[in-house]
Amino acid sequence: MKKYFTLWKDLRNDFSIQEILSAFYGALVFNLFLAVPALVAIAQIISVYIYYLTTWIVLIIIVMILLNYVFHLFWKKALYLKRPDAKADIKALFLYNQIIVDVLYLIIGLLFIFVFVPMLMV
Amino acid sequence: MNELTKHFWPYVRVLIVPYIFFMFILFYPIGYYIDTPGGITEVDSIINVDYNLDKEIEGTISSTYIVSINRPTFFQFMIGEFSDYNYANVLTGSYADYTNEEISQISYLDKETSVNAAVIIAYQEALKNNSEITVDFYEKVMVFGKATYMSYYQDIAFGDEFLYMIGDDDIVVDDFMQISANTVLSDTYEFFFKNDEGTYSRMLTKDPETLKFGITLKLYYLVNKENTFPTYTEQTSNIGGPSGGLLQTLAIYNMLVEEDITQGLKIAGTGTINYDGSVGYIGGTEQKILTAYLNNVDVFFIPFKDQNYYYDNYMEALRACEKHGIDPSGWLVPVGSFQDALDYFADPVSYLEENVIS
Repeated sequence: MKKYFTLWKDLRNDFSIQEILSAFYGALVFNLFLAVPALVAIAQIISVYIYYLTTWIVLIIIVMILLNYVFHLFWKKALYLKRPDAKADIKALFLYNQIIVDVLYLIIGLLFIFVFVPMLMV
Repeated sequence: MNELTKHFWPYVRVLIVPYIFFMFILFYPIGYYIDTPGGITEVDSIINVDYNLDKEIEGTISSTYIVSINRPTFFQFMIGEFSDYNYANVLTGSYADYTNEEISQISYLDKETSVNAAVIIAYQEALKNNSEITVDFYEKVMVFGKATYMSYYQDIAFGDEFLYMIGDDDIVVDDFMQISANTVLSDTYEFFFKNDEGTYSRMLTKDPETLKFGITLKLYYLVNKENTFPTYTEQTSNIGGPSGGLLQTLAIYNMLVEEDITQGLKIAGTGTINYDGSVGYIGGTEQKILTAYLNNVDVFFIPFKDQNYYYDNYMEALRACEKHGIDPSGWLVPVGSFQDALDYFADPVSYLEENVIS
């Protein structure tokens, strides 16, 4: 955890908050262009094959993890495009970030598989 | 943002047309419907009778629902074609003219009136052996269908109560069966309705081609909860339609009587319930059989009235079992009435021997 915060501090030394946020919003917008059709398509697949709901939740978890990966890829790219000479270890920082978010997605997904879906399917 | 746009612009330029095309097939609706297997819903999660609360019900009684997608998008239609379990066809009849919201309203109305019918039949059956039980109900004529040419189409909603209309020679007609006989001399008549906001009237004009007003009215019997014992509660549910009627009746009956008719079994089925206790046909039989199969039910009730009728639900179910390689013996139970279902529980072996078509 200490290393994680040190990595954030390094990033903060290389970039202003405005630059980090600008890169963040850029990555978010680009990621949304991918996420919207992907999630709408999955929602439509679920509506047609609702009897495989548990399987689709596994797919959603995988897609969310992939989207999270792509988002951090965009964010990293945007930061490097702003300052190609940045010394902060953005790769390591974002790897930690991704793991934290992925674990969150996994917990929510498992909650759906083992708690909410069985409740819904009574 | 600007850096990313500049960097990825060559890719964006190439991908923009396929992207817009993909979004089009994701969002553009087409005039079809798709029926797919859905799931089963335990009736006691929706309806609860405040009676015999200590009684332990070992099995479950569930209604079966399928997923019916009206006006799917191109994408839904294409992916739906990948499975034999799904059925797609062109939207026809009055449903083709209704919006998805109106179809939902009809479906909700069907479900609500079906629950009332189930309560009436179950209570009437249960009170034969228990004088403590009482059920009171009243008649209500409601708007069930609307043709596109109907006057004041937007003003009159599904489920609005028909009160009366002023017929020829200013006769007040409150029996909806007498409307045709009393609307001969003119084309336009005043109809009175009631909704949550109060009473209203509209002048309805006959369509010049069909010579009809374009409104379908239907008589329902609704439970008067104040004079009914024991009381019951109904939870809201997203599942609509009348096809759960038989199973709702069975579940309510099981909550009223002392014995547990489920005998520890996972019971499901389909079929509307009529006020005389007979069971009515439903749509989407194939998908309902597949739903039952995917949910490993022990018993599945299916409406059966006429062996020679091609679209008889039981005959459709047997064809669906053959098509998908499912063995129907032992679990697929044909019933023509609520009493048939009770007869099955009384002696399953004899009932199946007498009624199953091999």
